[in-house]
Amino acid sequence: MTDIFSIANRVLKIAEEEGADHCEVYIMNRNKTDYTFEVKAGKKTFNGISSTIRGIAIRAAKGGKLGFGYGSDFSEEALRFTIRSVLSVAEETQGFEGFTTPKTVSEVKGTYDDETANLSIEKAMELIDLFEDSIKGVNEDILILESSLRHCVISTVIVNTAGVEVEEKGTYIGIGTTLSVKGKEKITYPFNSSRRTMNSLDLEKLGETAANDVLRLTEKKSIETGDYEVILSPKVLAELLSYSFTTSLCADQVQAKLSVLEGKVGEKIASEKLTLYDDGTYEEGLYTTKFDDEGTPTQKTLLIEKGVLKGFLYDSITANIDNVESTGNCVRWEPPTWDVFFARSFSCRPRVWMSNLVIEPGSKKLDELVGEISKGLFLLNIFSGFTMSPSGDFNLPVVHGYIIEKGEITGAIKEATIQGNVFETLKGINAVGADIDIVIPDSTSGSLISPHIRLEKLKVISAD
Amino acid sequence: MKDVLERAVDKAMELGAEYADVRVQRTYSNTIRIVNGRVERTIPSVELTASIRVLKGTWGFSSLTSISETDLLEAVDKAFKTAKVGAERIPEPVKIKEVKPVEDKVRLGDIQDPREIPIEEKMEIIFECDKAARSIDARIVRTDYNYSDSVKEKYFCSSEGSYIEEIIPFTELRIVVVAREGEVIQQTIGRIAASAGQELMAYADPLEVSERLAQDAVKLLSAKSPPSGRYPVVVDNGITGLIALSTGLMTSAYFALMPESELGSFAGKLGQKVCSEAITLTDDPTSAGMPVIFHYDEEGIAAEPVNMIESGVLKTYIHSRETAYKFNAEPRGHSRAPNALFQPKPIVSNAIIKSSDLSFEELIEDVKEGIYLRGVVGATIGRIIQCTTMMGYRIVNGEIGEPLKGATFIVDASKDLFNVDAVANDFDVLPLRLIEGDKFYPVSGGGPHMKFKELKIGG
Repeated sequence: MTDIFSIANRVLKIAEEEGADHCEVYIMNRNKTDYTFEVKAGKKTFNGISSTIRGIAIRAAKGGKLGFGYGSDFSEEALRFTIRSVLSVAEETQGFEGFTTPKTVSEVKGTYDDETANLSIEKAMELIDLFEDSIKGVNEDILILESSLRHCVISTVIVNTAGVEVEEKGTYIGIGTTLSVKGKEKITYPFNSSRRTMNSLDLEKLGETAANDVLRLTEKKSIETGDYEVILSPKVLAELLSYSFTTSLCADQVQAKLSVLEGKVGEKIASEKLTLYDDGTYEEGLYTTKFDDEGTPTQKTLLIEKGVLKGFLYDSITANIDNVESTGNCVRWEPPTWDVFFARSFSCRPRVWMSNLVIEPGSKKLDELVGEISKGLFLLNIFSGFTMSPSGDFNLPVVHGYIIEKGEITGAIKEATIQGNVFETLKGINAVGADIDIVIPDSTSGSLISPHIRLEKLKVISAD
Repeated sequence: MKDVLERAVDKAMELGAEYADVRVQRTYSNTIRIVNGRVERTIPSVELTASIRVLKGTWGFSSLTSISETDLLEAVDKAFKTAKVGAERIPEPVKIKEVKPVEDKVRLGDIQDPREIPIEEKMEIIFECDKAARSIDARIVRTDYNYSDSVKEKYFCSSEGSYIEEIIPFTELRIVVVAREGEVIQQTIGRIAASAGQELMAYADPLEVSERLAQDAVKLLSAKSPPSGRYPVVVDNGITGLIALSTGLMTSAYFALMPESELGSFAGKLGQKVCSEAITLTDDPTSAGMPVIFHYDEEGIAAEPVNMIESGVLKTYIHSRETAYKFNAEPRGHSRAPNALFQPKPIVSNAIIKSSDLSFEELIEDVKEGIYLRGVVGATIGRIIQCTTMMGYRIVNGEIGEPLKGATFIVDASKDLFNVDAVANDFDVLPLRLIEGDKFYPVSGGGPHMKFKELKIGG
């Protein structure tokens, strides 16, 4: 890392030479490897990709005006050119009072592992075999259309003229598959799971879960349009919560008067069953880091307690405007940037966004959640929620889900769309599960760490 | 540049590769965001991306953000090893269609390099647009202009002796206008883009677009919610473009090799009817003024227009060298990648549904009770296209009636594409971003107004 620090400090020096009063340098290095086996025209094919991406982002201020720029060219000329450009486009920025000052970074656990970082291609092939074997072990009729394994090491360095000099290194590993069943080839089931270290990715269990899911999805049945009691998987919940809802929790949106939650702190906005945090320190969380993207220590921030809105997410600039402390939610992300592990990039200007959204688990086992429903649905996966309007209205096709009758899963949903409003939906939570999964939404940054939850009713439109 | 790239492909061949290519892309860009008439940000950047692709039984691919010889040669080693290990685990080696090597340098031509235009000049146009939009009505509470221009310098070098340099500009303006009255908030979205410099402003009139978006946003404040159910539906050029894009993706041989995949519906359908005969679908990466333009694709093959669907019949797929070998077809320059960090695959660039000679009035004259949908807010595409539109109108007895708020509609490609009744004689194109996981491709879709006998609308 020393060479990265020396580059970063060199940039601070150049900024000073170019007349900057304040400067912040962010350097991210991402080493990612991805192996995919895919069946094409009936034959297994292989694709192996490795990438090493290093980029730099610079924020610099002169005379109270703040500018931002980025690049991946580390030559002295390019760096100087970027600083000059940054200073020339700097703008008055309300709330900017200088960069973050040094504080003790947060303690985090389970975010780095040498073995995961240095996984060889031979070992990766063994892991894929293990995963595929656990799928085939459940039922020989299951077809594996695709299986993939990827791992990644991300190193981040932030230095600024206020004295911050921090670094961090994290690992990520994930498995994915697309399954079908002989004779039912029209049904395909994509399944993915990502964790921070090899040991926390239980390949045998994941293979079995995916296999059992696809077997249960083969009995497709039509349903009637109507209101149903429904169980939402963590994945479905991630799609519903990660767009309009998350946006309305960000202080910049509140300050711009674009959040429907503006002025509602202390009010009941959701079912009392719901307690929600943003937690950048969550053990083994995919978005767990020691500090946020401007060097502020991450923390656990209570957002909703038993249905009552408790606060919003802040970075240093929005915190200055409201005269509060940053919650460590400065995030370098903007749409459509996405990544299977960690959707942040040097190319995105810092803003306020979630890290790990955490729903506090309840006491009911998944079996109980299902068992208590006389007529309902269990949604496994829906279309991405990114088309959702700022008001939170959604109208999203169900990708996969089960039909529940008299407390038992009796089939799979053939074709349906769910309709509603996210903010209204949260008021109708009637039970929260005891299980926990770590999932990521399809089109945004951040992860959701959540149990299954159950809604009293949700409007479901049959496509037949 | 050429020397270092040649040394990289030579190294791959020395290791025992059957084929290797290396791509480099340097992108200079500027984005300007102006919110409510105030410059909210200006972001300059210079991004460098490179990759090496090695064929040894199968593909090995390694990408990086450096073009130092040491880093490139290390990437060659990694790519070669990956291919070698992977090839041992698959039943059939990958082959690619033979092509003739090309040496060429494609320059900007008549296009003015956006890097040479002072930033103040660019901002001036946006300020004017913003003023125009906000002066429409006091209920316009927010305008958001995202302007970006870029110049891509692309380099391609292959072990077969191809060496190509191409410089491509791209300019884009995205506009969001928000109107508010009490608790009711409505927004409208506009996009204009071209592979051009400042001349973009000549292809489309940003001032006129701004005013129209503001008028529509205000109109939406008092508009009723659209009904739910199945109706005769007429869609505007942009929505036709979205459907052209989605259908165009299904004509990619890459997806056609995977019948089970989301976009694999056209597998095994060559020569068959795949949609209504009102639809003729083309992909053309070479025509001036369109959002996406390139002369050579990411495999160094000269790009040319292809008619994939003629009067509803699937005539051909679009190919990479690998799929062209499998189908015994010719690659015609449609392999794309977001930048040099990603592998090329056949993806449409500007997917266009051809216009007819029917006027818009004639198109809707026999609709007794229907819906006219306008503007794409966002969409998910695949076998099922799910699209949120900006606004709508009722059609009553062949006439446009009262305005409606944005609706969501769903197109099931396997059924609804056969339900297209007719298309009109007008034409417009919608620049879009095709997002697939961590990849995003600039694309566009275009065509005339299009009428469905029946389509499912959700509230």
